[in-house]
Amino acid sequence: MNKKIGIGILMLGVLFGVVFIAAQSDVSYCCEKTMTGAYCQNAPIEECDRKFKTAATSCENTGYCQKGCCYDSDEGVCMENTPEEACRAVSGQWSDDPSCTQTTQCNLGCCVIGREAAYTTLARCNKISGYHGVTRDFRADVADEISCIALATSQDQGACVFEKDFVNTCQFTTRGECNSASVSEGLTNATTVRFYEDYLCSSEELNTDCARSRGTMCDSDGRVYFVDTCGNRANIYDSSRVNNLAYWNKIVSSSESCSGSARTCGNCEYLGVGSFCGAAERGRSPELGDFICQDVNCYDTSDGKNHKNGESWCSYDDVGNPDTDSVGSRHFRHICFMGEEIVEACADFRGEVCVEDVIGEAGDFSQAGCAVNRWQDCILQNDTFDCLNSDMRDCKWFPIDEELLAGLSEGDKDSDGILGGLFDGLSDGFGVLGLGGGDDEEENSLKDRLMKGEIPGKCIPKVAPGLDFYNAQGTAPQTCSVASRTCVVTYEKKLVGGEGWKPVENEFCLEPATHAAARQYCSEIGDCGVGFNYVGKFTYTGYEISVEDADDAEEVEEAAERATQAAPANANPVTFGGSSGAGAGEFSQPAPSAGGTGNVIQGFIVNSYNKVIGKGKVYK
Amino acid sequence: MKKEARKGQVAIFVIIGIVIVAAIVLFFLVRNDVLPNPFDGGGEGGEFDFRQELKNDIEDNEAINEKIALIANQGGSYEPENYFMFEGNKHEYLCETSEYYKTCYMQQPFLLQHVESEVNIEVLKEVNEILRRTKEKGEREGYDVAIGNVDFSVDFIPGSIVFNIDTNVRVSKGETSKRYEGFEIRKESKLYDIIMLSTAILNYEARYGDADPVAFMALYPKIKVVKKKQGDGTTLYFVSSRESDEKFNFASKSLVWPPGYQRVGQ
Repeated sequence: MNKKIGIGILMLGVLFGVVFIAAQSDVSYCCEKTMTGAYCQNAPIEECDRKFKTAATSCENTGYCQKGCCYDSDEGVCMENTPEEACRAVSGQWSDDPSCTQTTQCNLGCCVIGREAAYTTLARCNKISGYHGVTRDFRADVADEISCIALATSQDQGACVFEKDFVNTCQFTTRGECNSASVSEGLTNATTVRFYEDYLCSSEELNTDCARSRGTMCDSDGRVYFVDTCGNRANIYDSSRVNNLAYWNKIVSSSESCSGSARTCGNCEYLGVGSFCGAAERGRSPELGDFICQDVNCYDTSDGKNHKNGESWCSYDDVGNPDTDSVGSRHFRHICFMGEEIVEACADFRGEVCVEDVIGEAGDFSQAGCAVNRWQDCILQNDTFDCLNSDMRDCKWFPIDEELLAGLSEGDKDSDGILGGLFDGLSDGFGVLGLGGGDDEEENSLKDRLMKGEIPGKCIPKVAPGLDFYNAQGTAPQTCSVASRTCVVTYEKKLVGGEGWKPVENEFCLEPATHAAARQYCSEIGDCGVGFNYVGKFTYTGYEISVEDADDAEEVEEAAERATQAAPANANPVTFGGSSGAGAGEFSQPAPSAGGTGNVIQGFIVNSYNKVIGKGKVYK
Repeated sequence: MKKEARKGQVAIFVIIGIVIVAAIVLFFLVRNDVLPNPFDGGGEGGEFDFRQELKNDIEDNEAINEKIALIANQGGSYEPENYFMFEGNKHEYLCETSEYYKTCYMQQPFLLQHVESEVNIEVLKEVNEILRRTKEKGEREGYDVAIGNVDFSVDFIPGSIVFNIDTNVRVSKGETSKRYEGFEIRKESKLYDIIMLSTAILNYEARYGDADPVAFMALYPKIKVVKKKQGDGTTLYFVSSRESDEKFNFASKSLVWPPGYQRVGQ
């Protein structure tokens, strides 16, 4: 008896163990450190380094993986979002302040180093000043980086004259840097250090050993400057004034300096004109010296245009139309910088879209950026205004209505292209802030109706997201299934006379135009339905319309009910309201459709299920 | 008698004066490199300069340059474990999260020190080898070269990589000998600036989940920043100097949006 009980307990134990292990392997653990050395990652338990802490929850919910600020007292650097263990491992000072804004050592200020500045911490300022061999000049009261840079450029500059090795010499620097500690060793008499504001070291009035020369140099502002015999910066390179004594006497500002040919003038303009000081190349040399203003604009770029230095613009795999959103297509941002075109892909699966605009007085300086595609809650919007609220989401209105369809000419109904064009015309350009400016009265009326919510339809992503439909564990079937619809067509036959069964309700569901609209709607949801991929391959299998006969009303009702149940719970238009969706900011996974495979769309319906009289057909 | 003594005194003052003037002239000539300093570099007769030999060997050593380049190209580690493979190269994750919709966790908070430490470990063998070769070269030229215990460290500073070789070296030939107490060899490099800019990019990744290369390049025109986003949400950064061939590459995974609908935390 005892033996039997023992075996029973053992079997239960084994069973429990198997279940426990199976359950454990499915659970994601927060590993304080993984076997590959990564800190605070969610992973299966076997990937966690068991010498460190683990918990079966998101790292955000654990104490040991709280993000904090890690302060490096050596370099004076503060690193954000650092786990405590990662900071401790490198002997850093950790504080519970992920953004490092409350950590005193991380307070930023302006570190002035000669004629340059860095917006950084006090400790880092000490370090940088040490590297440059200058005394620390840290201004804690400077509020931002722009002010800091402005502070550095507005400093008094001039000739710092001193006696070194019994010779009267000079260093071109700022007033703050002109002291016995800053100027180099070998100072004969520390008390003789004098600062002459706005003077150049080559000034004959100062009587130093620094004289004018024909040499040039590049300075940190990207301009070409004359250099004196002591190696000090003089005025901007201007070949016509190389022997002009006045030009070697005092500082001349860039606005009062030369302009024109790079061969004779070194007044480069990095952001405006697009030129930057660089070493002269063979075949393009200046009249004097070895440096020249190099053209850093971009010519004949991939879009066939010329772009200024600093400009950026968009390109799309679907050339000319970013809203085509073919499978696998991406958005790209191009940047012109220092004469080079850099291509930067926005996030894959069209998780980011490229947006561009023009700035500047002439409106000819293009700026582009990859912005997050906020498509996720489009299908939850029932209201046109909410749908087109570009502050909240990136959606467009896809007008679908039986009356609209009924109003179309037969030709339009038969032509997918025209119908598609109509839908595009209706939906595109209807941003809340940017209604299209067409003069056509009919079009304007249509727009008014749209904004008043008089045109029924669906809210869909402006740029359809990509899906990882090739991934067995992916969520493509669930995402695409929200486009699946069932349409019940009601037929009627008169008892006496008549010509047989005639559709009396939802007959538009039989129209080819409806099927075309359904197909387009399908593609607008994501990588669903039929269509081309970005290399031009066509897929036929992503969409299906099937017709199911019902012999009597009861059977039709049942079929309709079955179809309703098969559809995802939140796919029903009634449940699409924003407030009735998933929790704010989080999107739940729609229930998988029965037998749903890949990106197959099974059908389409415009309205709710109506009462059924006579013979019906269920489209699913 | 008095007159003769006075004459002798004057002669002594003149001689002392000449010696002082000669010493001053010699001092300035040596200082201005007009004359070679026999004690500078220990090269008695200028034949064997241990310091210069060491400097040349370290600066031109291909193995050292390749190892530093590899460490920098892989995100700061010689053998990274947590990396993204791109075009056959490993890119270490310096900020990463495995969860959707979340900003990343910093993985190497003291990046500069980490890179210095990796270079220190990997280059030590080469430095010892260079010391040995330099010793042998001196011995072939008839010098006795004795090297004490070697302590080695690497510092990245603006414009240079500093190799600190803490050792006592004695070079002697016949009656003359020279003693060196440590070497500080500076190799021109822009890696300090590149790595410090990378830390700024990482802080942006940690806070906002993204960083704009144009913003960094506008502030530092001599540094090029290229960003490549991958399908799994990984972002690769390629930070390089426009003045040299040096670059620092790394991976970050922050604020990833999944394809399709996905539960939070999945």
